[in-house]
Amino acid sequence: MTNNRARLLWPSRLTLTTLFMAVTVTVPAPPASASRDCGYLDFTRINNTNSDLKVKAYDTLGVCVTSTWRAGSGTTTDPCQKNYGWLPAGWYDLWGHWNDYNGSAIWGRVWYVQDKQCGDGTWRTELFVHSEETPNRTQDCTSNSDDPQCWDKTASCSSCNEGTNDYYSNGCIKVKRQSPEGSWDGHLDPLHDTWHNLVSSNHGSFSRGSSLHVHN
Amino acid sequence: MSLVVAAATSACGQEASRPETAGQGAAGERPVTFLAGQTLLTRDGAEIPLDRPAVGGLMGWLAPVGVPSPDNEDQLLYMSWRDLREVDAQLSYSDQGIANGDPLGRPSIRLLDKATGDDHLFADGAYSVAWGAPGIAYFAGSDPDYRANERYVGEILVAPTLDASGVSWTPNAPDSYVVMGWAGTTLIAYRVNRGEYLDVLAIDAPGQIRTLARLASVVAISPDGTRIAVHDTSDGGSKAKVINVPTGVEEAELDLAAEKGQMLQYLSYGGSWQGDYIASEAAPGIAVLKYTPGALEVSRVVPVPAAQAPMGVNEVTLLDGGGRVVAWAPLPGRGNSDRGGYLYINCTVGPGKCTRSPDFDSRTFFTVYNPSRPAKETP
Repeated sequence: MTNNRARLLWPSRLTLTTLFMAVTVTVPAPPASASRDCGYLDFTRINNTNSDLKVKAYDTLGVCVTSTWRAGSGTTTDPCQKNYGWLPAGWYDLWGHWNDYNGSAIWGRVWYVQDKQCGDGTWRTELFVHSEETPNRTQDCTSNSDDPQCWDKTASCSSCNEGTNDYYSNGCIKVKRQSPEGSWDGHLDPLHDTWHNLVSSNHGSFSRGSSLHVHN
Repeated sequence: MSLVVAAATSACGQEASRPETAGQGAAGERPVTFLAGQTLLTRDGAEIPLDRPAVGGLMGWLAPVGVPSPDNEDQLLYMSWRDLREVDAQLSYSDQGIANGDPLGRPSIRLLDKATGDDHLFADGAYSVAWGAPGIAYFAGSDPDYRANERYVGEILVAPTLDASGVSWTPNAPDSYVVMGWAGTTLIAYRVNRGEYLDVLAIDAPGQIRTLARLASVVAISPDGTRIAVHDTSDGGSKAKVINVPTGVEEAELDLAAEKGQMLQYLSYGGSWQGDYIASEAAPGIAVLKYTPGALEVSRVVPVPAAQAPMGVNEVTLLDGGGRVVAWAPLPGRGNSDRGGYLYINCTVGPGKCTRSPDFDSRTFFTVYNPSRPAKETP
């Protein structure tokens, strides 16, 4: 009797090991497949207000061509800092694109990308590529130094060019557009046209794999 | 306390502080308590192992990752995270077979008793804690698991004691919240919107939710619990503001895009408020502001060289009545890696001199602090 109770109370080491393995198995990642060679947005992190955003796309001859514009991301360079840091490096799926997005802080032409985990385990979420415009893609500019639906002429520093402060963001990638506050060239129009003409004409919520690559 | 009150332009011209090494007092003492990976580093130099790693997860350090009990600090509520599958951050979801709705991880809140070492689960599928006289408030997900391409929404629960059940203070309003701290009997929390834009909420009782500031983050709660200092970008600009919590009235403002505040550019969450002084991370390093009724001004800037902290400093703590500040800094990794370790700096505000700690190679690093106010007087 004592021996039977002992066996019940004290399983063998092999049984313990088997139980432990059964409880702690997690789903392993499948082998990684190659990301795109062409047909995606490519963001090179340089600094918060002067980085490069490219569209890499096949032209009508099947050649992968690159178009590059200035863009910004974040207010700091810590990708793990929610609400301030630029985007973490890596590949992102696209979760949607709209021409008339009407959010609480983001409007107009936007691309919505997947969440991304940073090196310390922090998840960056609610991420977009966007500009500063109204839901119907116009400008609402006042005498304020920074209007949320206007690409303002405010410079990001005392020695910087006009129209650069709006490159700052909470993390999202921001692209300049034409505005009544300045005579600069807009980049959102050609970015948007290139994307639709050469990459994807989809609008609304949809999933498109590996559509943004962020790196140094 | 004697602080140099400097105009913004002359403060910008201050010689950058040159940190000395060490950053620790006698016998391994530290200026504040930290969480480093799966270890609690206490002020008296002890290293207490945790059962799980401290991870900010879905909240990062929008709210403290480790919150000590308000009475005697013998207990600690800390945030953790369990991966439900491997996720390679360099790959897209589609490139590693992650489909919409797949469970990726689960946040949790754990309770550590520092005296006994007991460490157990407090709340599963939950994160962010406010611990004060009114009770323990925390955010609980409707689904405990975080899933691909799904917002993590839920409700804010408030329990009067650690052993009691929580009552929803956001009934019928599931959303993505982060609990920050108690301002008196009012709970301060965030609602996380698209673009990681935050709304600052004041919740006075179950279902009584007010918006104190839109597109803003809370730097600190005033010592008497009646005000909050925020960084506000609601009009597209960048402003430091002091807001009266009971009334919602803005009592002071400093435009960080104008000459008087321009060099700061921004303030951040995880700051502190002692007496009349408010400390926060800012573009040049650490900003110390002075609040007097109706006025907010830059009192001092403690520059932190980019060579020492390329990604800035975080969770700035005022000590010694505002005469010292302590903050931690992440170190960059190689290539596209986000993290290569951490250090903390310990600075005297007046001279602007900093000492730095040795490097820590843990995956995470946070300051342990309780932002709820008024704080209990320690005997």
